[in-house]
Amino acid sequence: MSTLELPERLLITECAALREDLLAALECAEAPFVIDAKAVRDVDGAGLQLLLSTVLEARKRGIPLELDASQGLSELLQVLRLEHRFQRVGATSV
Amino acid sequence: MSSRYDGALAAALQTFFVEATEMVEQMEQSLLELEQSPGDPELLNALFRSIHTIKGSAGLFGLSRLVAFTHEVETVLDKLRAGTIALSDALSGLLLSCSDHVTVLIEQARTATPDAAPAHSDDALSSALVEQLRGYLEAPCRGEASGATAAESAEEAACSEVSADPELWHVSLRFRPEAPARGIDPLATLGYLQELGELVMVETFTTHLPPLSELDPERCHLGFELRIRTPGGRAALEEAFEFIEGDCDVRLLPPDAASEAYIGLLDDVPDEAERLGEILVECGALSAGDLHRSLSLQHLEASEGSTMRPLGEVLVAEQLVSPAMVEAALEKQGQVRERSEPARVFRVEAERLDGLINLVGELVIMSATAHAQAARHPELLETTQRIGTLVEEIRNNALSLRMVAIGETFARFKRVVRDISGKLSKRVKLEIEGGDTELDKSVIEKIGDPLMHLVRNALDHGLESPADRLAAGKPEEAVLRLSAQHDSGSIVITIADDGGGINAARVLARARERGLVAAEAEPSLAEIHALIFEPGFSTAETVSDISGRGVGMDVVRQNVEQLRGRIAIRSQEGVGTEIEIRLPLTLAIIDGFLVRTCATAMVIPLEHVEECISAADIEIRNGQALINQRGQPLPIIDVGDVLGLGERSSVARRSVVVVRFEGKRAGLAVDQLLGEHQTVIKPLGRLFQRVTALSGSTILGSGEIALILNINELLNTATGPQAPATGRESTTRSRVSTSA
Repeated sequence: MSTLELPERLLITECAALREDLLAALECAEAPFVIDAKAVRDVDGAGLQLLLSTVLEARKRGIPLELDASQGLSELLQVLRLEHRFQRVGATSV
Repeated sequence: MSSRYDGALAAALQTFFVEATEMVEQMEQSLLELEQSPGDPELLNALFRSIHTIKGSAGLFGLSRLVAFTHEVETVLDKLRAGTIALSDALSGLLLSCSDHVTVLIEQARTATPDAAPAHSDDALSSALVEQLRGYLEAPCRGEASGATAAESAEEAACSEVSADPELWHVSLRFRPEAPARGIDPLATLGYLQELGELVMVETFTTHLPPLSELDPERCHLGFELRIRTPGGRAALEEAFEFIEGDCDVRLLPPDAASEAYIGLLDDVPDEAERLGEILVECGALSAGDLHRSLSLQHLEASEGSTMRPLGEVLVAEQLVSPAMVEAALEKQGQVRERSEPARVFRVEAERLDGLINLVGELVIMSATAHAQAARHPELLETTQRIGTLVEEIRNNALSLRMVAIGETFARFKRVVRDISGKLSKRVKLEIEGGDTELDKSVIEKIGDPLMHLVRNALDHGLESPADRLAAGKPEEAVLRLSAQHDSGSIVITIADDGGGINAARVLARARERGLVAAEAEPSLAEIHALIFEPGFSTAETVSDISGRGVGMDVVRQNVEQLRGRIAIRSQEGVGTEIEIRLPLTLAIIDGFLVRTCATAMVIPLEHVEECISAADIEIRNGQALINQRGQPLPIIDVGDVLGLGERSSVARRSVVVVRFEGKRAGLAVDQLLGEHQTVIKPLGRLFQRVTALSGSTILGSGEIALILNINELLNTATGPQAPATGRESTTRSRVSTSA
């Protein structure tokens, strides 16, 4: 299992750098790849899109991906009916 | 529904039953797979879709009990999919019972007369299950976001009827890639909408979103379909979107929008028409039935094989939309379909395929006949040869149509393993390998039962209880492995367990008790293991309801042999048992070695042929014909004698074909060797079916009939009396006369 911690701000200004971090982490990820988003407080469209795109990338590479979302992020995903696209953390080891 | 649809519907109903049954199976498989990988979003979606599809189609046919029940299941599955409830073992078990019950309901719908009252017991079961399901809904939800509950209520509304809410607008948003560069944030837009009114549903579309490695994070690929309840009306909404005009494609559908408008949406959103259609149905934009019904009807008719009635025609006929509107929508859907379904799948009745293969079989024979006749007309030879090659290709193609992956058969055992291991309090992991291995559908159909028996047997007798396993120093969880692979023209299916293995001493003792083995005989380990395939043999001390009635393994062997297959067992005490079934890929064709004796042509299955030698050295010892082959005596069977074909032929130079079957060898004395021959197998007439030494017949190019020999039975005839200890009854010699 490898984990990548996301910062508090998941905004368009951070996304280019975050994308590099995510790609690098996926490159050497050990399954499952956990995105620790417990600290995330501010999300915009670009940030959300980055997460969704990471799911696609992980699937393409065959790496199971789990998301440990902060309450705010969880609520956002729920409102947008996107929560089913993410595996919650620990779900595979239950 | 107008009367001119009645015929189509009656036919479509049959297709519905087939599809619904498949959907229940899919539901069951998804549930079982979810036990392996809990929370897998794709599986959860598949689970939801399967029951959703059943409900939708059942609604079309007015199967109200099925709709009512599946609706309850669907509600729970939707919560599961949304992650508001978790899939516990108990819930998984409950849902499996529900899938069983859906099967019962489907079966009732299939057999019952329309007005027949349901059995009370079923009703009671229905309500008991529904009550349990509802228990899960009342469980406290995690993270009660206001949006989520709102979305749920929207779905409830969608499930029931068209929402006639005068303040409910449908908004379709597709942000342009360059929107972020101009300072537009899609989430901010949604946030603003939230201030205007209550968002009762938001569905995010990411059709054009690339994976991370191809993503430019500063371009936007998001789209939303949402429904908002706002008192502000059009003015407020238009004002809201004024700011983003040019950076986002916005479509507003007023509360009183007609179905056309929604169908029109399909045309407007490129590449997403199919999913949008689904969502429009789900959110009740069209009445929960209208679009779905139209789609289902079209879909069912299409799979029914009748001429496909275009969706537009259906919609117009149902008086849902104007023809022009539909044309636009359909064109778009057609484009999507062309892109998204490069490989279309057709459902073809097995009987039609069998008919085709039969005809091709005849064609093969006729082509051989033509080729034989052309021998007298050299100018025709080249043509008949080419026809022969083509016919062979057609035959191979036709046969491949009937090839099915064995995975589905294997997958059925997941449930069996789950249920039985639960009942026996054993912990068993089922491993499946080579599920994509293909073999003839007719073989697959017939191998299911024997496999089921072997799996049950392994679970019941083979695998030990967790306590015994721990005591034996094994992991608590036992492994049962089902695998399939191709091996030189056959398929090999293996059922392996890491259980206690066969207790050879006990088997031998039981065999002696039953008189299957002479008291003084000392059979080898392999021979002892083979004993469990003997009729009436069972060492289980208790007869359980799972296996152990002693009618099993010999029946399994018979079934396998009827498929021209072989079964073998390897077992090591304390380590495990492995049963290997080797089957031909198809029952329709056999690679044979053609011989002639007593003026009758015969085919020896090529897989059993070892070599051909001269019959000159046959000697008679103790009344048994033998050949000394490299120092070993090889018993000789005169095929003509065994089949009672009459006078020994007067051919001067006879030949011997050396054959083997399961380690037994013998020579078959025949008059003439004719060479290899691939033949289409024809069943024997009823007269010959009791002649065990024959397994079928075929027609040669000359029109002559050739008999296909059953080598196993022939060898039993020859080696039975001498067989060391197995004491298998020797096959009674069957006398048969042919008039070929």
